[in-house]
Amino acid sequence: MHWERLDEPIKVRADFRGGEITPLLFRRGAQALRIVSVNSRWMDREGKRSMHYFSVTAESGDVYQLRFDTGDLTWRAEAIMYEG
Amino acid sequence: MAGGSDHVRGVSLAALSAAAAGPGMSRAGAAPVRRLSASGPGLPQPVRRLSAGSPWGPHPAVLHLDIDAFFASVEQLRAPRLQGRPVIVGSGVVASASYEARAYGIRAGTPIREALRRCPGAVVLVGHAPTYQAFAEKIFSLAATLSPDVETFLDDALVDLSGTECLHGHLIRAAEALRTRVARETGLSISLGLGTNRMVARMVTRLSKPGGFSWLRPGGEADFVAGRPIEELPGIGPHRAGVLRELGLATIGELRAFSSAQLRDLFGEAGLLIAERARGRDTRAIHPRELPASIRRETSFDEPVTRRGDLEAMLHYLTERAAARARALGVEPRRLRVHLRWSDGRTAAAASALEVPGCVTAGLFGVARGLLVRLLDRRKGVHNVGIELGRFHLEPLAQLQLFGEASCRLGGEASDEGGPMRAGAIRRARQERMDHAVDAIRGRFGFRAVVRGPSVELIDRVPGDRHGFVLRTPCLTR
Repeated sequence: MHWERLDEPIKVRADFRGGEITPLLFRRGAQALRIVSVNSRWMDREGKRSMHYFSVTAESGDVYQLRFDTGDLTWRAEAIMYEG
Repeated sequence: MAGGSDHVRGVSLAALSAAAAGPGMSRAGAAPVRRLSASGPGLPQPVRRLSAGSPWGPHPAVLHLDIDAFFASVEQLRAPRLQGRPVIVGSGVVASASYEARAYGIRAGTPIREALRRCPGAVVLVGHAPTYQAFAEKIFSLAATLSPDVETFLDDALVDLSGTECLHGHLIRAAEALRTRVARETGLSISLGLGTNRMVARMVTRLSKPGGFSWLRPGGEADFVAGRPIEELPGIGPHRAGVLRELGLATIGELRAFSSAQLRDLFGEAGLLIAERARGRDTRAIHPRELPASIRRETSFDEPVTRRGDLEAMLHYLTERAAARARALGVEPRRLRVHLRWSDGRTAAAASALEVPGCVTAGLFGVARGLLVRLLDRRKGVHNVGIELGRFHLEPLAQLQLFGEASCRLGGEASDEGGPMRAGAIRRARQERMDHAVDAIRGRFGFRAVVRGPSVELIDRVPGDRHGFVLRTPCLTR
């Protein structure tokens, strides 16, 4: 089992209510992936920009790591976990 | 406290640690060490009926928190499929092992090959230090809500709670609330130990792992440490433990048969500290500013490197990272060590005491490059290179300039006497300012916003991300 780096820009539908960011669905290429669970979340900084990280499980069962950059308000799929 | 609910288990030290009960443990049936246990990692149960009376009073109070199986637990959080499976984080050697992996005797420092021999089904992950740092910072920031005096390490911290009882009402409840909050906000499990000094707090935490909370009431320190194995005493490493074991000593209490002078004869000045600690005393303060034993940055290469320029480029980058870390901590190294591993597995290292303590990157790299050149005495490729800064001093040792740089320059021009010294001071001051400016830019725009010196050669050859160049085997543990 290992993380494979993706570093792809993605479009995400997210809930920003209550001061908390919760990604709900993301589009990777032509594929729309519904997020069934947010496994963990953490925050890091790049300079003065906050980076919000999410480990999510898509309905396909794949586990992705997503990143939301508060500097330019963009989302990226950082990595995917593969078996083997 | 002793009459707690189902969720509170108050047990004697002897029950917690067989064969560790000291002579004072049975005193009036007291149970100096109490423990709250969690039903599972990250899921502490609520504490319902703690006694209202404060057990601490005016005594010093130090809380030690330790993140359980830190790196491996973070990986299990990131990928739920890993939960319940043996997980190892590390490259070459184990940096962290989940409790499932520890059941196979795998510990930090175990070679990965040996770990996989013991547990072929273990999942091995290289790990990602910035992610672990983000989790640690979150937990330490929660600890800082209890007290401003928090001394942090890689995966544990000491919190000085002395005098905060009026603020928190009840230290044990406050600590337990911290454990619950950490589990809720990060999903990670921590173990806690509360005592009247840092040594005891750390020792008590060991009894709590994983996911528990133990505390030792004031006054029980000497009795508590008496029954513990000598290896648990700070200052007793494997070598000293071997010496003491040869003398027939097994517990800390047995060390008290030796006077301070005898222990000094045996272990030098450290013997005096050992004598104090053997009586449960530790007067070291909690330093909010971390003073690490060393700062080490290293990496291995996909293919053995033979070109000196390539090695120097990587060494420069590693020096920059180590120096920036030292500057951020406000510490100045007095020793620099370069180490490498050849492609045939042989290792070599060279160290140098720094004549002028300081964190100027150019100065440190000059020393590091000299050591590297000295080490490159074989016609073999290099598989791994690293730098280590050590023997830190907390306060700047450099002499402050009385008249500033401009005055120095004028003075240097006016007189030959002391000119080279002044020129050196001016150059060093400029380099310091340059380093601080570069640190500020990188702090705002990311590390790779400025790449300088021999590191420039890495730009086209080594992939990078916002944290810097992506090393093949970054050091996770230092």
